[in-house]
Amino acid sequence: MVSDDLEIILTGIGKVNAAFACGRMFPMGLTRNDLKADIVINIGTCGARDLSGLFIVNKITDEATGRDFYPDIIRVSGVPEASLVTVDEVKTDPDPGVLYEMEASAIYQALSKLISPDRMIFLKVVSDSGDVNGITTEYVNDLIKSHLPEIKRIISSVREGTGKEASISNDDLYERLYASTSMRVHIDELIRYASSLGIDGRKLFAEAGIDEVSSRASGKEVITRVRGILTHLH
Amino acid sequence: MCAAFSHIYIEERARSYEETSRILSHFSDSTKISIRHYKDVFNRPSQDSALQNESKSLILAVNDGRKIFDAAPVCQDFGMGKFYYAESAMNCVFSCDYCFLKGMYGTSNVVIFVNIEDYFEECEKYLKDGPLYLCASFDTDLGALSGISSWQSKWEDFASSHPDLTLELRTKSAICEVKSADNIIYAFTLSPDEVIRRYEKKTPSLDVRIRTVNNALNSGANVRLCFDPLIYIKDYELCYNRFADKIINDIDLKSVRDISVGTFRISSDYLHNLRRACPGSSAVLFPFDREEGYCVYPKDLREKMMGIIVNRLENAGCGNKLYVNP
Repeated sequence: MVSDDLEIILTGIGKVNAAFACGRMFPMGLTRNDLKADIVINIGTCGARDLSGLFIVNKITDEATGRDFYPDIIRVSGVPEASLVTVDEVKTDPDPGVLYEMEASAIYQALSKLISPDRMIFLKVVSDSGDVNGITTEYVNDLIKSHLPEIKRIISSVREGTGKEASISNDDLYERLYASTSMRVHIDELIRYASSLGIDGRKLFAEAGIDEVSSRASGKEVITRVRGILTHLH
Repeated sequence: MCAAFSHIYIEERARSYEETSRILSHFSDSTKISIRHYKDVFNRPSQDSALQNESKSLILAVNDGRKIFDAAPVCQDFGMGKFYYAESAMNCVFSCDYCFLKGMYGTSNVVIFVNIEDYFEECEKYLKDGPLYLCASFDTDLGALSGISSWQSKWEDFASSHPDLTLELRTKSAICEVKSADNIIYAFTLSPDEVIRRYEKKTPSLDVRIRTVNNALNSGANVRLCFDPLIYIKDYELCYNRFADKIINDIDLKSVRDISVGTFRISSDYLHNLRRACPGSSAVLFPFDREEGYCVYPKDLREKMMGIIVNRLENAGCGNKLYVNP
């Protein structure tokens, strides 16, 4: 964890390591809904015959399976885009115009169960043209460092465009209205609708006689009254 | 209108079609991405359609599946008994909060199927069994796409050479050209400006739509007016009465073929997606009644809303042209 809202995970090389790292990233039992505000940015190096610099990936092909995956490029702008092929072994004769690396397809597949395609961002820096002899850790570190300002800018812009949704608990209303599961759904629906009209829905419940509620039946009457007010505002 | 698309996904097999080249010629700045099958992009799980709506992508594809479908029972059939729709494009460049397309598809991206001749072939098979009433702008707004796609005019040409086909082209756009033909109906959806500004984003204003309707009438085209869906807003009585005044004053209703009126209704299955796509919109957050699998306004409210428009149109002498959705 590098800050309250940013965590860095090193995947290691290859699809198995990458998928394993994704599995470690989120505890068991989390659902898509739990992670709806999370964004995963995969940063790594890649090979390419005729490209150089930093790219955001708009298409990932898994060479072994032939399957294609498409991250949604909505949250990042102003970065050159490219398609990428994930390979099992270093590609020594890369096709022109395409990036090659060894993790992205596994990361996309592992995370797509939990993270929407606009929240998976793949940033790749070209490190070689297929010949990895002489590619050292120091070289890769320096290469990534040279692109850090741009990577930081991307992370900042992505952060600005997202955020945890503020949610107000209606638990106290449920309790005071003796709400069943379906009544809770109605309460939430009415409060959301009121909010869309710029009205304080919780205040409406207070004005509709919540203080007099002594049973589920009278709780239902209050819900009906609030609904009547909201659906006949004229 | 010529919509902007940040990305254009192109099926490899769609590249050889003339329509693909025509469409791509409008978008030199968009990023083009080759794809194997449109569903790999269009049907991805859990897409953020609200976010996509701010930066739509276009998908050019070949439809090798079914192309013509029966319409749902909740759709107005205009006395035709049964009608069909053709899915030559999916989704819309406009962005109406309440649109059923937002409920039906989990994405805001637009698909255009470039193999229109295959649609005509399927249409001809239906026509062998007798006359066919077909809505070609049902899962999209072809008029709104006419700046980039030739499908609206292709459908018009096809209808012109097939008199047993009655073609409906529904739109909120300011389409420039219409064809005067007995079997082509241009259906214009009209809403008060208050509703347009709040809920029908990227669509033309009421004045522009009325001008488009009048241009179509002056060209001798068959015109249908759709006051459907009526959307509940605060002060709706005042708003819809003013709207009715404007329609009655500004459009020669005697020349209009027919008029459809209906309040907003949507399949319960679609409402969840719709609320995800427009999370702050009162048009979809309304606490609807559930009736037979559909979400509708409470009965008294929808009767009042319908009553305003129906009474005003009846008083204007259009009673015999009205198709009223329950």
